Amino acid sequence: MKRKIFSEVSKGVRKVDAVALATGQPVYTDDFDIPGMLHGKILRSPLAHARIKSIRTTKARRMPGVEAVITWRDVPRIAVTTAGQGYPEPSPYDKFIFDNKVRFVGDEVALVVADTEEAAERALGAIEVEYEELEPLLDVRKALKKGAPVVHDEKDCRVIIPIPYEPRRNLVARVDAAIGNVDKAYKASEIRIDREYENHISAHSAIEPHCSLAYLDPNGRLTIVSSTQVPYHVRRIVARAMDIPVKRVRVIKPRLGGGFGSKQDIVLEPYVAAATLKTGKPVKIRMTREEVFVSSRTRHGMVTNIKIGAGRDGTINAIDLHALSNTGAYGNHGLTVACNVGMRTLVMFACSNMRFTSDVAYTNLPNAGAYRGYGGTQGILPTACAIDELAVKLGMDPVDVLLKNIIAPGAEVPILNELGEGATTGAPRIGSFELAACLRVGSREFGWKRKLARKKDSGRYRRGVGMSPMIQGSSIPYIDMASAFIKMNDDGSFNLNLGATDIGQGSDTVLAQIAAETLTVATDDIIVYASDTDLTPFDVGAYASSTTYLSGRAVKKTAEKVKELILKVGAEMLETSPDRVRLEKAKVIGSDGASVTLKQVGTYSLYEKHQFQIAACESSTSEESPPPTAAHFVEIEVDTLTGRIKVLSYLQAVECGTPINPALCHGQVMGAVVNGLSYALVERFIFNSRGKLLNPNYDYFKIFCSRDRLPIKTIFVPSYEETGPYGAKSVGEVCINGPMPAISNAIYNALGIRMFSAPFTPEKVLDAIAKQGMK
Amino acid sequence: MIPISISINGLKKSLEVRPAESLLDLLRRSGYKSPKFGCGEGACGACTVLLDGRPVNSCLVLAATADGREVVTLESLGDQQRPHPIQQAFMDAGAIQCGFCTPGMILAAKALLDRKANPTEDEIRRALDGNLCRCTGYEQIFSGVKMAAQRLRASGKSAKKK
Amino acid sequence: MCGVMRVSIELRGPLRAPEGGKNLSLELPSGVTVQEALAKSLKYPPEQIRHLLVTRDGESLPLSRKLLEDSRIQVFLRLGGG
Repeated sequence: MKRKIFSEVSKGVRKVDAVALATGQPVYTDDFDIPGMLHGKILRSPLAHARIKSIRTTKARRMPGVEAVITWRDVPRIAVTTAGQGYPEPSPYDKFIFDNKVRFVGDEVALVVADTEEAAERALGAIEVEYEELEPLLDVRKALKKGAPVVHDEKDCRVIIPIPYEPRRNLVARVDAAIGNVDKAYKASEIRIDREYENHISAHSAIEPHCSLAYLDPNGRLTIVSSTQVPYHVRRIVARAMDIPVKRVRVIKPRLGGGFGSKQDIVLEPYVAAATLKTGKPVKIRMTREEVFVSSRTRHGMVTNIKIGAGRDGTINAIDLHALSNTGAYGNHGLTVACNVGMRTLVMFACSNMRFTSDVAYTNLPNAGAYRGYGGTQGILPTACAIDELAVKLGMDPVDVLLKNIIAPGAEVPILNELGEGATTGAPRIGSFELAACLRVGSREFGWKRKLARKKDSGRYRRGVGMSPMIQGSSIPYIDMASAFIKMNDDGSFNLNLGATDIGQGSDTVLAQIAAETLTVATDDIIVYASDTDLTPFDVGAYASSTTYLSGRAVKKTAEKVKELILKVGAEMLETSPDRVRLEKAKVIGSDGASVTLKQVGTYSLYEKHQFQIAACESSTSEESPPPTAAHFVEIEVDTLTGRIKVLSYLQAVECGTPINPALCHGQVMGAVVNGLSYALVERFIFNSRGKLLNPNYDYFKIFCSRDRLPIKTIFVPSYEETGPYGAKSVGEVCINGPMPAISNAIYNALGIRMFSAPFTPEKVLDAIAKQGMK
Repeated sequence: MIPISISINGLKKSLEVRPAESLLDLLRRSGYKSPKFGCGEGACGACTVLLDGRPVNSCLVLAATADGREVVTLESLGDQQRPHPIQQAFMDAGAIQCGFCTPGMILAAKALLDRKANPTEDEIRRALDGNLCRCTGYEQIFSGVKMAAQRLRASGKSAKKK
Repeated sequence: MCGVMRVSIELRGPLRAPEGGKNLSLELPSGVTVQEALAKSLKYPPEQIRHLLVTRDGESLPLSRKLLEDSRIQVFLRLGGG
């Protein structure tokens, strides 16, 4: 392992926006008010599946304060995908801003624009809609069967790349990736595991509700300020939906109150755009919390089937994973989340007979989209639990089963080509991959072997231990691109203009640190401005765990170009040649020891001689997606009288290359694991028989609060990724994947009962005890 | 419209409020943007302000009932040049990621530290249990509160003084 | 050389031919380019043949390369999105 000494990288530097946020500055979308601003409210469908037979807006339009009421008749019918993905999007173009059909309870029906929120809200009630109710499809297991209601029966939905898409059968996507001969190898295996698991639909619950604001600038260009993770995709897709050129649209992302994937879709932007284009005035729409739960986005619910075949010595000979994914009423992110189920599981294993298949189906349920983990979360549940079951059958430690079967760093991973992301000639390779180290360190620090060998408790309170491995990626190879622009100022400071999107994870800070390291200055000397499609160069946005790795590469490349120019100017000032000077501690130093400061270089270049702006703009794509990895270990205590699970201790051993900012890294993995624990233990959506969400509020949709005791220990295992900026990989998502399988395995260890679906609420645990009996 | 007389961050103001208007909406339209709309139902705490010194969910307080009372928002605690020790501690402890829960968390912490200079972890958890955070997992927020308490004690100041 | 030639196309990953298959064997005019071959077999307009990686014997082919008789090519889809 390389030992690197850094000056700005690897320091817990304070966030560049910390003081603004700590002092409550008005920096979020809803904090901006523009004189003359109107408010928009969306009328949402009360039915899960219906045609709009008629819609009368006269009364609503006459109500006090109302300036416009917009329905499907007032906007051009243009199919888009709301998925914030690179073009051409691998999601179906199946969304119309307003349609004459509704496909889930909460789907958009009409938009009222009025001078106050209250006036808009009152006018919603005056819109008269006649629905022809259709039979809703609410069970994904029925979606692909003959006779199921057809969610998308319109003629003009389509995919724009050659992938399977059969909306008449509710099929959004199909994945089929295999290497070797899985069926043969499975049949020939001495030990065989064959199980079905289920991941439930859940909510991101970012504390900031979605909010967008649109206005026409003095030259009549549409400007959208939005809480979005993907400003460039917003620009392109809104331009398309409104049928205006991209050059007539500007998108700005201010501070964001969390996203977690819920803002990696075009949610409110087309509506404020339509409202502003219609009225000529600024329009703001902010979702209520109920709207966020119902009508923003959710995690894809999935039913997964796993088969593992192994030999008596623990060698895995075959892995066959299938996922039936419920993408809800629209297909955004359907295919790619499904692909990720296979990618963040099978890729871990050095097994030559593996298969991943998936069917992604429509239902008349809320729209599933991107959610931290993005299929990796759903895939690791059956995988880590099947490994655990295999280990139990073999009388082995599951950590040992994993160590025996996972790939080594630098390994070839042929199944990646079959799964699609980052296909390349020959077999793709994984660079740094220290999952084995995570398993060993985590196991040791947790006291895993001792706890695993412990005699089982009897009586009311029973303890159990469980573990799970997990991986994610760092950006999407060949497809995603990031860029940065740096210019130098007279005082030796620099402006760093980034397309990259800080959604609270601190990317502005991390990227400033990378620039500072390269330019040998303090992070404080880097002034960051980001996520404005007019002023910052292109970046796909904050998803796929890309900002540290991919945007970081772009920043480093740009800073290196700027460094070259600095050396050229410094050499001129020192009357020597550029190859005889170096940049160190904010000075250009000649071989004879003479030096000039960056302040002198800046002033000289702007004012004194051969003046030019020292600046560069560089971009980066990646050829790989180096996976951050982790191993999680949990000890729980189950109260067999109440079914309540108490987390006694939790340890996560994580490796993500060089942590550019250890404090922010720690923050990311903590937030992810607590979200994962919340998903595993308490979060759930409850729908009625007609597809209406019954608990769209924090009273009945629980997430963890400060009183939930979760004793979590985090260890960063050292690793270094050659292709990453200063050895970094990304880390934003990976740890959300661990808690559900680790706890399911711990429940088995405690009670002898396998639970195949979460949340592991007291009722579900008691139900499982009643049905299966404890061992 | 109902006329009220209210003190906001020490400034006496005469304002007109709508009957069903919340204190949150009043504050935000009066230029105090630090209390946030997070749920509108008093469950997430992003709208927390101090009303006569006690933390309340301002989305559930009718603005009209704030007549004659004192409201404190985060804006009063410190500014970019001179942040309050609690704000400084939050920054130093890595307690701020997206920052949306931060105003509520800091005011809830202040209300605690105004009463108890050396709170236990349990007391900190209780004081913040009305403030949801989805980014941090809470651990660094607890560190921030403990750090603030320690620094306030060391400097001999109570949280009350600026 | 004139007239037609046979080209074998193996679709990998989530790519499928319009009829649903993964292996296609087509008769195409001699000297057709990779892009034209794909447009015809996948029934997509040529300008939408993007993000496809085409290889022959492990070597990457640009979309403009003219194919020869009995070409066996593999086509991968480069997906992005999450």
